[in-house]
Amino acid sequence: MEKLYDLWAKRNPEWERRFEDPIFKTFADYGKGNTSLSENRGKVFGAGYEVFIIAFFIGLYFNQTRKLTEDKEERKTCGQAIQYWGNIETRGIRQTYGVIREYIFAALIAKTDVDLISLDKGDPKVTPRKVVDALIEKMEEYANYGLYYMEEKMIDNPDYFFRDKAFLRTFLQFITTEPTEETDSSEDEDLPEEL
Amino acid sequence: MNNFRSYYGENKFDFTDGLTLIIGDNGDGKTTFFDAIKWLLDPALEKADINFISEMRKSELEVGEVETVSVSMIFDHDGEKMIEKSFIVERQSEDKFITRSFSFKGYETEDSERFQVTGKSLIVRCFDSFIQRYSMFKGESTLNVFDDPDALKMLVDKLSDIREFDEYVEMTQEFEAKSGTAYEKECKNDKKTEREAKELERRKEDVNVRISNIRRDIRDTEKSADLFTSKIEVLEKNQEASERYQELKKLIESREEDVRKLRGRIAAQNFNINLLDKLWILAPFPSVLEEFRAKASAFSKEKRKQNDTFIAQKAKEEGRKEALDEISSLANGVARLPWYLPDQETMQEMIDDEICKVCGRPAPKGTDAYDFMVAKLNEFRKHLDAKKKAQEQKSEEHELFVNRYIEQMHNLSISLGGSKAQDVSELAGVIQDQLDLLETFKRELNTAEEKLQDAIDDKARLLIQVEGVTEEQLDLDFHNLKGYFEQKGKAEKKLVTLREELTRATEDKKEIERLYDNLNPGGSMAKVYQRVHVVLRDIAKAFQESKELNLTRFLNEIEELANKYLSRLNTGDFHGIIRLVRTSQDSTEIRLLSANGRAITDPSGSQLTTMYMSVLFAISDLTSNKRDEDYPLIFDAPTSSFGGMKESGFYNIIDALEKQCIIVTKDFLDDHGRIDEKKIDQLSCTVYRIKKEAGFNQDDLSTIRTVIIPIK
Amino acid sequence: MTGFKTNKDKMLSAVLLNKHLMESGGYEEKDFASFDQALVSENPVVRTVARIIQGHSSGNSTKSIYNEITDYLKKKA
Repeated sequence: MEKLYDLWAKRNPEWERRFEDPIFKTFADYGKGNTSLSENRGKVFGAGYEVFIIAFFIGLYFNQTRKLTEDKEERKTCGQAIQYWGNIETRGIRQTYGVIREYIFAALIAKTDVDLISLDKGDPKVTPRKVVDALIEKMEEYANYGLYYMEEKMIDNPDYFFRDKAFLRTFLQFITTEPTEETDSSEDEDLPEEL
Repeated sequence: MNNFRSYYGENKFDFTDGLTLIIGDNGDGKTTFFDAIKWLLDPALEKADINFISEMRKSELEVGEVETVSVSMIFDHDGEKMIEKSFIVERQSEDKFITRSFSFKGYETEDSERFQVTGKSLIVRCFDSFIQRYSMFKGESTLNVFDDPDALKMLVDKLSDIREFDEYVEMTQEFEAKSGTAYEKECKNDKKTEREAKELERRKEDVNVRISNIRRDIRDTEKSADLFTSKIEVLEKNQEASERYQELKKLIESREEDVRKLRGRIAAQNFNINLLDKLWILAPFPSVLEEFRAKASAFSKEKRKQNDTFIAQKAKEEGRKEALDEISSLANGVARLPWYLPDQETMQEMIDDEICKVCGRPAPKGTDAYDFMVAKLNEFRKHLDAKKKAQEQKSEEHELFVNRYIEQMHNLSISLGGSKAQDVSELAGVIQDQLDLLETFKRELNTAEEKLQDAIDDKARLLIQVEGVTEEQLDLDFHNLKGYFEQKGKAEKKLVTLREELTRATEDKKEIERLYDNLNPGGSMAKVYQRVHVVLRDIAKAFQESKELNLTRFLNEIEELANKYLSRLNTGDFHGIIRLVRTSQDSTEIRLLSANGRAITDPSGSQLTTMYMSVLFAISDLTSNKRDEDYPLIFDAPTSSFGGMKESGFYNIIDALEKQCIIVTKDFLDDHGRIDEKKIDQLSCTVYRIKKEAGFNQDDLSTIRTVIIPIK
Repeated sequence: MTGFKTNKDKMLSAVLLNKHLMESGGYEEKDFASFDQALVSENPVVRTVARIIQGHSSGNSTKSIYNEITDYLKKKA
């Protein structure tokens, strides 16, 4: 019996093609075959999946999902299956962070309505594949929400994610008592105090 | 001054015997005053200049109207004399002006009768270019008269005890050479001395070549020694600055390093990347993790519960079935005893006792009843075996849960719990710490950048202070100092050797001359030439030595006079001693030495100014002695580096010098051009204030007019 | 020499007072009490120096001064 986690990790989640240029190619070396280094060209992240992870957690922490377009033609994958995510070469300034996959998986289990009882009972209506499908769908929908969130921020301010610590700021809002949304326009020096 | 530049209309100054002070601010007409006198006294300037007319007057002229521009001076020089330069300006049209009728006139008074001469002849006679050169000084920088390489020669010629020594020395040396050649020629023609004379001639040519070579080497070496000396002097003068520069340079370098390090540290804080690499993205995760663990735990509990229930249920079901089985095994329809009644032990007892204890009837071996009991026991044993088997089978075949996914979740939950969960829950604090650290770095960077800027500013100020010295000089020369000293040392060593060589060569030459003198030619003509040559040689030498003596005396005389003035001008203050140091054959330098004879390396501006002025007063004294005439000294802004401290004292001393001086200055004025009445009260000299008449427009020259206000 | 001294006078005494010249020339200070006296001095050195100064201050050429003094010295010798 293959582990559910392994089944899930073999998958390659999808995202909407519309984000390829404005987000994936902007913040990652997506489509360049480079999976490890983001030092060059001023890109914030390396592989495309890193953008996906960021987007996923945005959706997760907002606890908001958004269905992807039905049109399969308008979807893309990250290029690498989940099981390879975070296996960055330690060369350069980056470190591996493969362990993050377990947390993503745990989050998906927590957030997805799956009937593990039926699965364990061997109910033919609830196969491992169907469960993993549900997990991936949830994952994609969280990420999709995150991508829309990012897109919206960038429409308001094209420089939004290029500013100092912009991505970190995005996540700091989830652990501050006061949302940083309102103070986004203020100088980032304010941030530490808001933590 | 009539209509001369800013001096509109008629303007007059009276100069008293001692000091006349003319105080004016920038643009008030100080330099115009000086320029007017220069123009008047320069005999070479015999042309009108349209630029000299007062713009104010010029703008007033009607077309066809004329105005006279003139500068004149009445002075006493062996009787009252007057000199005047003037020309006429005519406005021919709205924007056309012409000049004409330039005149340069002089007037002399003899027996109270006044008659006119040319201005040029009067000036050349009474105030010649030499006097002008040493009596009019524009600005502080022109005060060092010996900056002019011809100054010494000129002064010696004009003011030393004996004039024209140079010409006599040159002439007598020529005589010596000429007579020597004539004598040598005679010796060669003399049969007795022919051979020796030829040999001496050859040796003399050799030694002359040697001497001229050595002299050339000495000159070159002196030049290079001088070059290094002056380089070292510049450097030593700026030594402090150079050391400070090096300090600052190092400081800047180390502070740049600090800034670089901090910038590096700040840049290394890649907060976006840390979201992934350091799992900072999990900082808000604890609640999700909690949710997951709760869910995993719930599933796990549910599964166990269901399983327990299932097992219990099944067990119940098993029991019921067994009973049914038992009941259904009796064929005769009678409700038989439960399979477990009687138990195995009782049944064995009954068989052993050959009695049915159920019905109480005996059942001996061989009877149906006995056989029944045995069969019953066997059935019982069979049942036990079957039950055992079934139980074994049941546990394998009839599980409720066929998969263990929930256990996987449970394991994941355990693995993500404990220290890992602790780590995740601490991430928010870690991030805060890192952000705090970043703030600390940023504050440190700010401080470091400020410090760096301070050092850079200090360096900039230093470069301003050492005006004229480039940063490169301060930097490079410092490293070169050792090299310069070595080069200078080498040159000086070489000079010693060369001078020894020169002494030897000169001795050789003397020896040759002595041999010439002792030749004792046979012919009488040769003997005559010999004596003539010896006399002329001695005379030439005497002229040369007298010239040196005259120069030395002259310099001592200036020194002595100058030092008297220096001590008067610096009464009660440290002043040092003036030495006129001969730097080569025909030039000298004014140096300020301390009492122990050591050079004062960095005299202040006021020290230098009083030193130069003392020398000028000395020269003026010598001129007066020499000519039986006094000449005024006119200074335009000589005290700009004084700094206000001793103004009154300084001017009062000059006033008391019994030397007619005119000093144009902006001393005694504050930043707003107001005159310092208190300080003026302390002055004993004549004081004029010149200033622009009120209501002028700075951008319109035709509104500017200098007014002269006699103050005391 | 007393009274007003011209440059000529001063030059003459400055040169003739040279110790070495006095030694080699064998004259004394009284031999040039005045310029005119020096011009006709019996001492060739005194006379020659006076003639040189006289000749130059009168604007005579170097050549004529040389000829004059060497002719005189030759005769004296």
